[in-house]
Amino acid sequence: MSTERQQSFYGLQCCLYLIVACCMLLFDKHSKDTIFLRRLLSSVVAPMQYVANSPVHLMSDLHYYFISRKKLLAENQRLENALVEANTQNQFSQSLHEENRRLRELLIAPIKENAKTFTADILRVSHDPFLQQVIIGVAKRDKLEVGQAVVDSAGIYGQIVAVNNYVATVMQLSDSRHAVPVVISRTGFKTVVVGNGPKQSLSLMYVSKTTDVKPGDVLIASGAASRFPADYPVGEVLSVDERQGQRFLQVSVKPYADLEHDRQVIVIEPQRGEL
Amino acid sequence: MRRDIGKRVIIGLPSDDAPVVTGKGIHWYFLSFFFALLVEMLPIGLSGQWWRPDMLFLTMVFWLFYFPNNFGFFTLFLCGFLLDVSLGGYLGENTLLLVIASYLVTFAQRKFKFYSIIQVMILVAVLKYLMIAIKLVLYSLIHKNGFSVLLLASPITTALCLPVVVELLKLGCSFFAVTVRTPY
Repeated sequence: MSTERQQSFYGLQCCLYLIVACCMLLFDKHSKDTIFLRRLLSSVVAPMQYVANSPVHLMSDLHYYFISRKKLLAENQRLENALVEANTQNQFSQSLHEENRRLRELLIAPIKENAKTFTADILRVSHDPFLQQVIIGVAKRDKLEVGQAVVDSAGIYGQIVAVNNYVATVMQLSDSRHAVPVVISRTGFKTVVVGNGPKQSLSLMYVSKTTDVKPGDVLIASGAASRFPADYPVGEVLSVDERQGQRFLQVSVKPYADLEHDRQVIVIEPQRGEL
Repeated sequence: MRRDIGKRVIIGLPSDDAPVVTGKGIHWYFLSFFFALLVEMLPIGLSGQWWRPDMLFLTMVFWLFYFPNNFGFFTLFLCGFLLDVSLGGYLGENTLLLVIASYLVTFAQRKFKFYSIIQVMILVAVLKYLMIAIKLVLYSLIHKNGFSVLLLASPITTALCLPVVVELLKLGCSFFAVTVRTPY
């Protein structure tokens, strides 16, 4: 085959693959029928992810294996102290929970049973700066659904956006496609907090200039969309900027969840009919 | 394939005289992409992601420069899909970028015939910036996304890693008895 013919054949091939890739992109964006293909491909990817993740696990195991006795004792002491503290706080929160239940009964509001939860390991963080997503390992018995809330020990972490064989994708709060309905705990003002993409921060939407909001205000989930547990902490207002010519305030929020360093997250099982 | 003119190391071949990988070499061809995917999947944390070199892209550049006649789009297509699934992005997103980049690399390789390793590193960095620009446009069409200056870091690390990756892949070539011909 001559070079010119070779080149034109190469160009033709390239065009063909480009068209297929564009079609897949559009199809994936506008349709949910690609789930089957994703599950099929994830069966191939999942073992690779486990293999790629194994050096990190190995390092972590080696670290614990060679850790000194003195350090272990200190760690044990610290954990025991934390347990005592947590138990004290738990007793306090139990009394609050009881009081809350009684108040709800007075209001004839539907009471939510304590949601079931289970922990999941973060297998890997998406290295694409455009996607603030993590992959979590899933056992077959964990029946996950898209839209389930994910939290960590400090606050809301994100939500599940895809469930494949053995793994699930969690979109973090900071992803620009993510939004959570929240309440400013000091004033009771309801608004929506959205992610800022690669900046790893959040911002409040449509906060008018007359709204009472100031740095340090705590944001808690309002539970309005029935997706995130109500009253769970989301973040804290970092700064409030009033720019000339703009109708709304620029409110920057720092998430409570440790989006960068968490190794484990808690998935909250939805109540029936909740999603 | 590679020759020394004084101190300058030249890589690149005209496509009509490029060698073809056969036999056990084919295994290395697929293995190299498999290893590149594994490296892409290594967890390095959110702070490290900005500096992560694009191994799949570098592997693609190696095969395109050294064995252009052996290069098939299907491997790239499959790798792109696997990466999309692994990252949780839209299906076809990485495939689209890789196909565009591979076409541009081939075009550059055929147009100029020879490159020094420094020139290839510059080409890699420029192509990576182009890929980021395309991705930014793509994402702005799909949904709003912020821009961070740190996005500009990855092409530099990718370009800096090129000589190491090329040497490693050539080591693999010699292990799998792939003949690296020197036609000049």
